Amino acid sequence: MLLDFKKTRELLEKYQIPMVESLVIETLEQGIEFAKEVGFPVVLKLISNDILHKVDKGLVKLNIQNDLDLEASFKALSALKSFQGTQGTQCLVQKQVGGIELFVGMKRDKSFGPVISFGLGGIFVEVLEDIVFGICPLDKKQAIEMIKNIKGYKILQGYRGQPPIDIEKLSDILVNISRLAIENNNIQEIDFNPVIASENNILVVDAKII
Amino acid sequence: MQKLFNPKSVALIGATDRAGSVGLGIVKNLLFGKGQRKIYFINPNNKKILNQKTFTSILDIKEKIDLVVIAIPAKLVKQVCVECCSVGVGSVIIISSGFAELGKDGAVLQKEIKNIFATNNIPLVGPNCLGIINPKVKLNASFAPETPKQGNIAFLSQSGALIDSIIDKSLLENFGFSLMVSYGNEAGLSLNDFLKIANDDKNTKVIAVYLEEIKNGQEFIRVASEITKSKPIIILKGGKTQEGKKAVQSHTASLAGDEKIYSTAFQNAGVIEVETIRDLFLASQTLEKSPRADLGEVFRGLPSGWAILTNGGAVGVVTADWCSRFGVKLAKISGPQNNPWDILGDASSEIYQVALMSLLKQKEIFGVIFCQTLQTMTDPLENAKIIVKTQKDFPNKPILPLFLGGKITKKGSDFLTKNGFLNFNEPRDVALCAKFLTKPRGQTSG
Repeated sequence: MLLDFKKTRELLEKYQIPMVESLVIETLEQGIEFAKEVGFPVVLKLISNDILHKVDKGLVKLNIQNDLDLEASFKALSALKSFQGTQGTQCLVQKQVGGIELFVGMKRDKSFGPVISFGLGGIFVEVLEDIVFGICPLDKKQAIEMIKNIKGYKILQGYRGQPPIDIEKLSDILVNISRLAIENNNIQEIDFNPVIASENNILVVDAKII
Repeated sequence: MQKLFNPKSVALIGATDRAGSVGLGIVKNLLFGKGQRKIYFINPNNKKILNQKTFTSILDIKEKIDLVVIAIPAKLVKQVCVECCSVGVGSVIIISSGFAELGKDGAVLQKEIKNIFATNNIPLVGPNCLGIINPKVKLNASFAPETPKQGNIAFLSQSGALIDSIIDKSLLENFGFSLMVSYGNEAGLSLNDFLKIANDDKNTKVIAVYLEEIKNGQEFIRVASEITKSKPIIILKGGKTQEGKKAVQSHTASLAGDEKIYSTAFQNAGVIEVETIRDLFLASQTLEKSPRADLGEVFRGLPSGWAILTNGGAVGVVTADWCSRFGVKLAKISGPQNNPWDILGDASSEIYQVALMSLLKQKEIFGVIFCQTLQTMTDPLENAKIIVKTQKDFPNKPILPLFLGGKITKKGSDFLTKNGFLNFNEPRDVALCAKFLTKPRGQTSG
């Protein structure tokens, strides 16, 4: 079963996996308050049990620049609340961050036990299937090796004037997910997608734990 | 394991002389080792098989039996297993199919049989397998159509049918085996156990494996990592199943290809992975026959790597291309020569000899790919002799022959084969095997 947001966040904190600043809200006012605190732009998501591809179903509103935008988005999502599989009346508001989109996953293989997958997000994974795997337990050296093994590694090193991302931090996250998988046998799958990497930060933006 | 792979006595339950039967196939194969051990045939319905007296049951045999081969219908297997335990046999192979591979009922039966032998501490191979072969002691406890020659490759296969064809191929191409194991459903001994057995076997230099699924992956990585420090393991994995994908719910997990996970495991364990049956045996024979390039020394001189020696530009260039694709480094040859070093079409055997020696003497050179095109002054037999002789002088530097040609070239390639060399027919093949020979010993990414 999909872990709810609160438990997901607790688990990430416990394993030192950084998540983008987020808040579960029930009213527009709570959202506006949060946006003031962290600063626009923000993202609004309808919390849904129907887990695959929120963006495709219009359950995510990106690039919210001000209070008015936020109100419109909140209303639009509230109208969708009857949507099958949604939980209560909750929305998730997050600070919008920019950077390179990555994904990290975990699944349990019949033969090898927990396996971590990693790659660049978007078309890199969908079209080019640029994914690498690591068999748990993963140590730091293996995690770095994994990161270097994706075809798009150059993009992480800073491509066309982009700053390079923090490979050290990223490898720590992979190692921490490996630890999480080994210490929590009840968790079947993890899907962190996207994870957004900028020069100084690597943040999980969307987390599904099953 | 001595009782399984070199039994002093063997009994076949399900022996028959019915033409075209599995039972008869095993009868014939066991008789191949007649001088090596006592052979008992068991069949309650036949008094004699091929003029040899039969027994009604294992209970009737007075002597202790080291190895029992069971080839009777699945529903009768459990009873004879109990009997085997009651007389205390040394080891058992169950050839019969009709177990876990058929579904739930078969799996239950298989588990019962597994438990019977586990409680009695009797090693079990199978069920649902072809059997095992140890050519050195003339043991062919299988229904393979032939017995392979003795050699140094252990072949462990999830598929029995593949073993059959490989034996036939090996008899034509003159290579041999230290052990052949069709491990079937792994109710008792598993792939991991056979890897350990092959590692302990002094006659095995290389372990070749065909598999579709590994039952205990974590243990496999531990076992294989240890073995590959000293003995190469080469694996062909078949079956890129969709099942794993169906079972997962989340998005990225559904993108995860099982074959990539296996490849990761192989890398972690230092296993060489190949993609074709042909490559499996090219690589096995190369690693069996050639020394592995010695990378022990740190070279401070010229860039180190392989050298390509050729009497024809094209074959040198194509070989260099494949080396580059496979990441096989080419050395800088000292002096004015390029690498590939083209000694030109009129190169005599003397010129080949001098060039080969000078390359092997250079410390930055791991080994030489010896390309030969057939030109009017080329002497394939003489060149083959040079390779055989020179390899003895440089036992740590592999010389890989690539003799391109047919009828006339055969004189040279036959001589090479007879003297324990593998002649390559394709630049791609020789480059791939050069890569496997350069793999640092005991390399694991873990």
